[in-house]
Amino acid sequence: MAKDNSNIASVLAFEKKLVLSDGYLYGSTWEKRFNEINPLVLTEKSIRGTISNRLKPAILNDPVKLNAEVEKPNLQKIDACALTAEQDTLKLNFTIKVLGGVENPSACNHAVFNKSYYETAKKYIEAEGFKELAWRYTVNIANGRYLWRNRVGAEKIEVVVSVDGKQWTFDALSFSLKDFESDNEDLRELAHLIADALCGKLPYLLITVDAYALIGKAQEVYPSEELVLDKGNNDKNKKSKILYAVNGTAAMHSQKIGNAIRTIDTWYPEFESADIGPIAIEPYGAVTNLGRAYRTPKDKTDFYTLFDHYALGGNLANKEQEHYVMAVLVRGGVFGQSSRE
Amino acid sequence: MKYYQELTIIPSVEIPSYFIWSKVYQQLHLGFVENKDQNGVVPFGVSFPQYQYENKKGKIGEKMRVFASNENELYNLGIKKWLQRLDDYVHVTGIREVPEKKAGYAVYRRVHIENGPEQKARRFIKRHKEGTLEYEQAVKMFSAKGNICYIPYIKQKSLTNHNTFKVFIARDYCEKAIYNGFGTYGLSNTSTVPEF
Repeated sequence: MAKDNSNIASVLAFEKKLVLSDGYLYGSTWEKRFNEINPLVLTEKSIRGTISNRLKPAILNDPVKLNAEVEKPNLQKIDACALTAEQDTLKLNFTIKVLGGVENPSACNHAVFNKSYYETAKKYIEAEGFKELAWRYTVNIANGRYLWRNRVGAEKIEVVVSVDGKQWTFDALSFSLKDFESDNEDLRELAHLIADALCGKLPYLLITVDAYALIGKAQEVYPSEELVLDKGNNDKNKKSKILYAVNGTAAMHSQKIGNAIRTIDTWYPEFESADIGPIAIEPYGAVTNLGRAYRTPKDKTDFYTLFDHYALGGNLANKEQEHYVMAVLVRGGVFGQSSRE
Repeated sequence: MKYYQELTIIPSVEIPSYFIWSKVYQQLHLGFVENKDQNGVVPFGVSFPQYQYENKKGKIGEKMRVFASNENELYNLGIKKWLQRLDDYVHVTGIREVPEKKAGYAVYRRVHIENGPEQKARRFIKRHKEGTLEYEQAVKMFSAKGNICYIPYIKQKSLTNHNTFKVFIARDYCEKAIYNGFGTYGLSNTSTVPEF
């Protein structure tokens, strides 16, 4: 891209405006889900696995080597988490803090750029009032997307959202994961609050979310998995699967919940053809578990291309692109020129 | 096998399809079990139209068809009811007639992999040598065969002891239609399902 970049700030950072807590997991029964809840704990399993990974051709084609390889028992320690025999309901609890002030970067070393970006952001807030983004975040709160695998096969899912003494209850399974077309009074009320907080009309908004999923007695529960970085081959007592827990309570990473809440991008070019539904708001439209980036500088739909143009007072092709750029700023990050060379 | 319903895993960014397959197959298995006759034979066969396996690489694909010889059987099985809780993750068509023009027939059969030497040794001691043979010595009596399998599979969880196991699935093409009933996973060593 032959472009004069001197008008882009080299130091530029935005704080996230949707601040998620970790999600804590509890077990209960559907009848007593509001008063009898117990924290779920992780259990450690030691299993004797078989060698099942892909082996090198050299080993595969030599029966002696293959036997030697397969004779090694594959001892693994893994974490697991499940409801007890009496429990049939999973409760996930987390909070979301919504902040305003997206028009002010938390760090910016370029006065001209800062001013022009401020105008742009103000114009967006004036025209859109964050209504569309707030709507989509709200649908994701209601549909229970943040339950991830725990949502699959659940018989009932009830999401109770509390803000400052007010409370709404959503039937998560009645909302789609594929679009944001649903509509009801409660959704609108909550979306309105989130939009106002993002615009800065409310000083601060704290949302408490309690999701109850009826998944069946003693069923397996899926907390976040910790990334095992040092897979030592010599230490037989290493765990190969470590689940996340906070003070003994099984939990979901705040990042994982945040990713689900901001899975609102239906504006990427391949939305129709890819048939995977909305993707999370990311500067390059990255979907890690598919190993793909759906917004690339090549087709000029990545965040940086759009943002550089938009922040300097240019017009974007359509409103959808504006929504996308603002959603990335709500997500937050370090977007300075120097950080992307 | 004249009628069928097709299941498609709905792709999504948050849930990998292998995870959904496990849940879907578990439910279908329970449905098939309820429809066994007194000999334990199930009238429903399954196929995987996107199945691939070649040179130790393969995949199950994202689609499954459930076949029956008449409409009523599928209707009474009630696939949609069994998969109701998975509505957001799998799409089920209505009951359709198998087209006249077929590519042929195929047997989808379950493959059991041979136990490893450890399992064989434990079993051998338990059944023949209780108290007279040490495990370490017994293991050496068995060669390390089996245990490795590259065939596509769907993971299942035992509802009795909560262990996970794999249902390995192999496909063989076949010239003509054969019907001897199916097992509780809709698989069979001899019965065929139409390919189209």
